Amino acid sequence: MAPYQMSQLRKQLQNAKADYESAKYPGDLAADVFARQATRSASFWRQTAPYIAAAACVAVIVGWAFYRPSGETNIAVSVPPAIQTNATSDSELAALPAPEAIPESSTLPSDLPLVPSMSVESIPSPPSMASMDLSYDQPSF
Amino acid sequence: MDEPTIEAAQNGDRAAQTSLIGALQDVWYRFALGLLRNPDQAADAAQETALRFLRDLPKFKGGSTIKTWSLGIALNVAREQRRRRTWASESAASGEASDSPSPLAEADRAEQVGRIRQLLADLPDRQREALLLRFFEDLSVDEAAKAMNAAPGTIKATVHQALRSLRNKLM
Repeated sequence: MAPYQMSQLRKQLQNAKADYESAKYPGDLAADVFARQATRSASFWRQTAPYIAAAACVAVIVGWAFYRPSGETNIAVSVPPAIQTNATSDSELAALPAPEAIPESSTLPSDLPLVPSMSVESIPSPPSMASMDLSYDQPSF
Repeated sequence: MDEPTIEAAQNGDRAAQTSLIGALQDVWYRFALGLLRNPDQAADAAQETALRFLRDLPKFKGGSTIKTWSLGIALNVAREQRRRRTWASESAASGEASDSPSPLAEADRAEQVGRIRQLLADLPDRQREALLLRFFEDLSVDEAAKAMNAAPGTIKATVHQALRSLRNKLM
């Protein structure tokens, strides 16, 4: 029974294989694929080109704004008003010491004490307060 | 599909690529038709297989025949298409495939082919894939294992299960 089944199965598989092998691709696959590749490529550029162009324009504008020649600017730049200072008069300049008179390094004046003078007498005595009277011998009321 | 043609195709030679695709187009189409059971989807799968074949051809190292290697690509494409297909379209495709005219002349033979085709369609996907590769594409167990990215023992067991299932249903 089993060999009969196997031969039947084999026969049917062989028939199915002949049918399977009879299937052919309808057309020229290479031509279809290369055309599809070209379509994909064209579609890619069609979709991407506007973005590339826009990015290039932005780059040009940004580059021009940062690296434009300084003499060709027409953009009005608001300049803050200058700070008003008192002009130095010639007499004030004449009162300043000459550069030769200025020492190389700064020195402390010799007539000033390094430690400030302080005497004990200068500290005032604390004020007397009734609440601080701790002698309870005589009631205060 | 000789070695110089494959090398030329790998280097971008358009004529060599055309020659390779021409030699393999029916293999890809009938394999996809056997898995998807829809002529339009099989043609789409063949085109997608060819595109990926051209893209991945420089990576082909010659560890197997180019037919076996490309059937691995075709199998992946067919699996992806099968996953995308809805149940409704699958039912329609099945009906369409069974109504397509048979090239066989004898009525009883056509009936047998139709029956075995239906039995093949009813098999689980993996069993049908293994059976097509082993018996319809005449790949060895090792080649089918490479195409399916599975162990040879797994292919043997899968084919055995498929044949047993077919035999039981034929009774």
